[in-house]
Amino acid sequence: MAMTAANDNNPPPIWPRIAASPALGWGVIGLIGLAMIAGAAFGQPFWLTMATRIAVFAMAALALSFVLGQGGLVSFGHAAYLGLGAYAVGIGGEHGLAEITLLLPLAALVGAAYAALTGLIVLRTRGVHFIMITLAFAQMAYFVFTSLSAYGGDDGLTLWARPTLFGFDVFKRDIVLGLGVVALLALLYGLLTRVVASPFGQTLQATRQNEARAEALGIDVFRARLVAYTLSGAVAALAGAFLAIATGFVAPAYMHWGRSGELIVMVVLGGTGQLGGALIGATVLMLLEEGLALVSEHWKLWLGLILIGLVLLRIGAIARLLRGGRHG
Amino acid sequence: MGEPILRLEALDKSFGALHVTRAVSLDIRPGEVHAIIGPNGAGKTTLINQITGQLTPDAGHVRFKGHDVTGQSVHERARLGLARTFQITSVMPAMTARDNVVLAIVSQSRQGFRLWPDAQLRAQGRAAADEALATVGLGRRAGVIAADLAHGERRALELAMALAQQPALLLLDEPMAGTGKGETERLTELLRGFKRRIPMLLVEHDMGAVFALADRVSVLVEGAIIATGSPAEVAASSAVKTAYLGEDITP
Ligand SMILES: Nc1ncnc2c1ncn2[C@@H]1O[C@H](COP(=O)(O)OP(=O)(O)OP(=O)(O)O)[C@@H](O)[C@H]1O
Ligand SMILES: [Mg+2]
Repeated sequence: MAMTAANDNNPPPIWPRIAASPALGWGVIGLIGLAMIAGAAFGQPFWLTMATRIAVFAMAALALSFVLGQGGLVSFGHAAYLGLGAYAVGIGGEHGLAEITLLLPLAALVGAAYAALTGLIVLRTRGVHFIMITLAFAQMAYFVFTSLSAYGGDDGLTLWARPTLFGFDVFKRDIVLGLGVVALLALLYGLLTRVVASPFGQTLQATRQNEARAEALGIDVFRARLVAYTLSGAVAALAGAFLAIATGFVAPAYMHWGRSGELIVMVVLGGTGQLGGALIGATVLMLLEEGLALVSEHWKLWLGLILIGLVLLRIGAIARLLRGGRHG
Repeated sequence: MGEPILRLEALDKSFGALHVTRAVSLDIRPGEVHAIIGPNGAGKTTLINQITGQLTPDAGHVRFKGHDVTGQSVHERARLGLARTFQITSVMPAMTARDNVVLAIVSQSRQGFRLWPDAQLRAQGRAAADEALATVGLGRRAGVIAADLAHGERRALELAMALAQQPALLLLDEPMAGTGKGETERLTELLRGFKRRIPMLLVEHDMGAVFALADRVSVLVEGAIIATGSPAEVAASSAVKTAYLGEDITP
């Protein structure tokens, strides 16, 4: 209710506001697409695979950034939506559903439904409670799929064929799949950027900045959060659908809490103020992981140290976010 | 004078052992400015919060525009036309002054859940916002982030937001607190301009402002209303003098 205006004045001095412009988001998407084309052109399948993975996780981070950055809702369970989208494709495939124009809406629907249902509960809590209960619901989904032996249980599920597009088997070529992911990423980024600029975007930011004032203005804060959370669940599930298609495999591990944490790191790394930050954060984190794995077998240690360093630089921003103040 | 716009019926509220609202009944008539005065900790803010719905009374009813709103949420009451300012200024810190007011306008017109930008709506909102800002003297500060405004400017901004809600009733919790003398006078004049058009419940320690604005004054002491009347009547009341223990409450 009360503002701590004086403290909200100063952006963190160390970290430049690299994500301050939507153009940067478009730049990242363009680079990912270029990397794919280059990988295909120069016969470097690894570039293509890597760029496709980056695009998938950028999409998931984008979904998280929408609720976390704009709505101030620090969800520690977004990997669940990734997993749900993946299982929508996996289980759909088991039952002969192989058309992407059906699989993607199905995945989005499943993600939206789980977000809306759990949102009815988790969105009644705030702060640390919210973090814990989103984690709990993600773990619940994780254990449900672990015990779902009809669909592979712990071991997961292999997708024997890639889906078709209007009956055509276009995605059997990796470059088409990769560019398909990039195209959807671009579409979703464009859509969500518009939503952020819409009246609803302002409403959502208002619920983050000052809940009491928002309510007093007649804003149904709970409903605004539920809409945002549901939208985010749908987008994250779309990313999950492509994760399944790209890897040809679905497993409960996709829902692991570590993955949820990774998504938060991506969003915070790139800056929460603009959606484009999530795309940058996802790209940087995934390249870091991959690069460090090449140079050292203790890469997780190095990654951890680098992340701690980076996050320390960003801690002011996180604190402001939890207080509901201005972005860093 | 017609049906009261707000009627409180025997409101009662305790925080644990602390009885902060004791059988408070009070009404606000159309066009009336009703001031509530009382010492620190008397329960004035708690009373406002029960009117807005931020707090639920333990007993009693809140009737607003003829509806029993006791069980309604804050945003439902706001949509019925209940606007307020907070004792501690409360705006959207990271938005510009203009965007703060646009938010109030958009929410009031129930456009706040539109998922797509609308250039025309935006232009209309901005024009209306700039007008509201000019009214409270912030015409030149529309583009400034609220957190960067001076304290008095933020108070004015909050008032502009409340006015932009086109309220059927305006609740003001110590609007003059922490503002300088000149600013208090300006604010009093501004509010006087809305007298008769917007009924107000005014909680205020500044007796000059109370006498200049109020049609009736209620005195709240330890959660109970001990007197209601015209400013002159209340100033003359011996019960009020005793409650204030020699504090001079004439302006
Ligand atoms: N949420 C709460 N929980 C417990 N006690 C509270 C709460 N809110 C207020 N109080 C107490 O209730 C009493 C009345 O508080 P209130 O803020 O309504 O007074 P007030 O008349 O507005 O005072 P002031 O003039 O200082 O603003 C005070 O003793 C306060 O400490
Ligand atoms: Mg008070």
